[in-house]
Amino acid sequence: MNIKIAHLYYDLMNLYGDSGNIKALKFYLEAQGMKVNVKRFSIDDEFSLDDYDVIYIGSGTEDNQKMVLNHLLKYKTTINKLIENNKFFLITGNAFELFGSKIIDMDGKEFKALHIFDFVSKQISKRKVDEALFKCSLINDYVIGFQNQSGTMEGKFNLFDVVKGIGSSEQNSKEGIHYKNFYGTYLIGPLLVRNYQFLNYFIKELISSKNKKFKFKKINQNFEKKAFEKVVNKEAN
Amino acid sequence: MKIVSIITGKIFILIGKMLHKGSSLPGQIALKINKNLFKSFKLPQIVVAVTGSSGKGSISSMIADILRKSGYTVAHNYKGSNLSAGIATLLLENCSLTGKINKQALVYEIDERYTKFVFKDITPQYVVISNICRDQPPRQGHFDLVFEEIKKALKPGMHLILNGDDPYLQKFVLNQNFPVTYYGIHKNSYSYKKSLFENLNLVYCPKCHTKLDYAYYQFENIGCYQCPSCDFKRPKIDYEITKLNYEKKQITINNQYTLHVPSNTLYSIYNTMASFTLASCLNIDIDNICTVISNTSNNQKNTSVYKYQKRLVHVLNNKNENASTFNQSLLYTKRFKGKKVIVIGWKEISRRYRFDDLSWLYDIDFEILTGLDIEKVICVGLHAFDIATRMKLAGINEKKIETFPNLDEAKDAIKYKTKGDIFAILNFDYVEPFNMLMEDENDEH
Repeated sequence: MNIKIAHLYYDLMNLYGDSGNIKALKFYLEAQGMKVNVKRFSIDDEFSLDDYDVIYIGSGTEDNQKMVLNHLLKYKTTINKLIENNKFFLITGNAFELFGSKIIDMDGKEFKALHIFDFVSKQISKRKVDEALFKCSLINDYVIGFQNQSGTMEGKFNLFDVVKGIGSSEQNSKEGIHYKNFYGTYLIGPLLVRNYQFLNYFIKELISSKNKKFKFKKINQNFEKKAFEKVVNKEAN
Repeated sequence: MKIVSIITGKIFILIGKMLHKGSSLPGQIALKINKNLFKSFKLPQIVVAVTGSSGKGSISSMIADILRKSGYTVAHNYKGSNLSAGIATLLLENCSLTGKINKQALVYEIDERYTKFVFKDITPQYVVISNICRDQPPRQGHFDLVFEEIKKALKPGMHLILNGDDPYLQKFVLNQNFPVTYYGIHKNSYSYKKSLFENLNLVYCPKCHTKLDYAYYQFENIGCYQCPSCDFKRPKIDYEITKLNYEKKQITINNQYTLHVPSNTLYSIYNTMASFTLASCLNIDIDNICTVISNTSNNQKNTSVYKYQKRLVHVLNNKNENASTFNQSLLYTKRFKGKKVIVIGWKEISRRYRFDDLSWLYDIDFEILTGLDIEKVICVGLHAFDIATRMKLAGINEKKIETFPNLDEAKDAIKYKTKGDIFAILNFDYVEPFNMLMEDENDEH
């Protein structure tokens, strides 16, 4: 089976080790016997997202995020349609802001975003930085990560329950959005590396969407598991 | 108020000396008493500030050394206290009761984010900005924010000393008319054509957003760049290394001046060039500059190479949460042939805060290792499993990766169970413990 991954804006939205997600996906998809093709695109490219199984965007500086937004807006209708049609999206860091209705920068300037979801992002000068411990009902376990963000959001969120760390909006204790096969979170960097169970869940959903009867192999994740458990044991107790 | 704060500061310096404690406390107290303390000083004729993500200490020390050996008296915060209080202490240590600095030159290294507080009054004529790289994201946010902070501090008339090979530093001079003197390295046998690093601070033209072209790279996005759409390009370099020999630790500048450098790592050579260039701007005799630099011994804190039995041991000092330092070490490791044992580790990620960010491990291109003859990768410390995961995802065979909770437990694997040359890519907090482990000959083995 072939899996095609589109890594969008790999050279602009790569601020916090975001490419780790692509490395983990590729490694473990290949371990399941998939032929994985990662194609990288940026602002000088035109892309046909329909041809890909997974679309990934990571975090960038505030300037790079605006540059990317300007380019991505051309694909607004396509992206909306793809999400409705169950395409897999994994969005981390401030790329998540691109999928709300608008971004208001530190000077109060408004930027229209993709408006796939209704939330509004507001960038503030005092960054929010913390280690995160979330609960994720999809895997019935913890998700760990790191937050380093200039944004605060208003809207509805549902991907994670905040145990420690910062929620998407100040009003509630939820973080990120899960809608169909769209997974968006403001956690930065190597989310799928640090959370082997969430990675396995994502890979399972992805492969099953192409072949319901696929027989999954058990893969050694000893390092990942021990690294994960060390944090959870420290943070959750 | 001025005299009170200066006297109080001086008293605390005396107390500190009596207790054999040097710190930035005197400056801190004097700043508390007098918010305008920095306005109280009469500065000497030469004032040089050195800032940037890394290299501040080495560059400013070398500048101070060159000045001293050229006959100047120099005030320098050589202990590295580089925030406002540290610089205030330095000034208090070197001034009269009226605030007149009693040295001929003031050379201070300063934390990037404190330039805006200090430059206003302790105005340097020369500012060396070494680099702005991915460094301590939990504290700094990211490099663009650091850039903005320094930019705010720069005032017309300040003379900048910049690495012309670094396109990111060009952002300082895009719409400004600072006098600038550039240093750089000409194409040589170590330069390469195809980018080796993926997560870079700037790959698009800062003027027109077109992707930059490179004739060659020296490291990351440092090299000979040119925008295909506008006039943005590597500037004319005033002091350029035209010949570089790592083996002999020798460089030739502008085909004219040949000198020894203290260490054969690229960053150390760029740091040396920054000091050389600044000293040249001060009209110090170039032959004299060359002599001083050639006689500078290697700062063992940064890198050292020694033998353990028949194996070479390269100890490479890195800063956690700073991908560039690790990338430098990988590029250094790549220069050597033969079977290699890689040791990677640290005691803690940061002394500054309670939380652990591991994202930066994926900003480092450990993939470079997969092209080398790797016998083992030994991952040590609190985050050994995170490091091991990174190695695995970089493409290192899992069977070659071993994890240990501390250096003591890794000893057998490093000293006895492996044979290849050792490349210890360590955070600074593991350098000394590692060297002690290697020196210890009383092992029961």
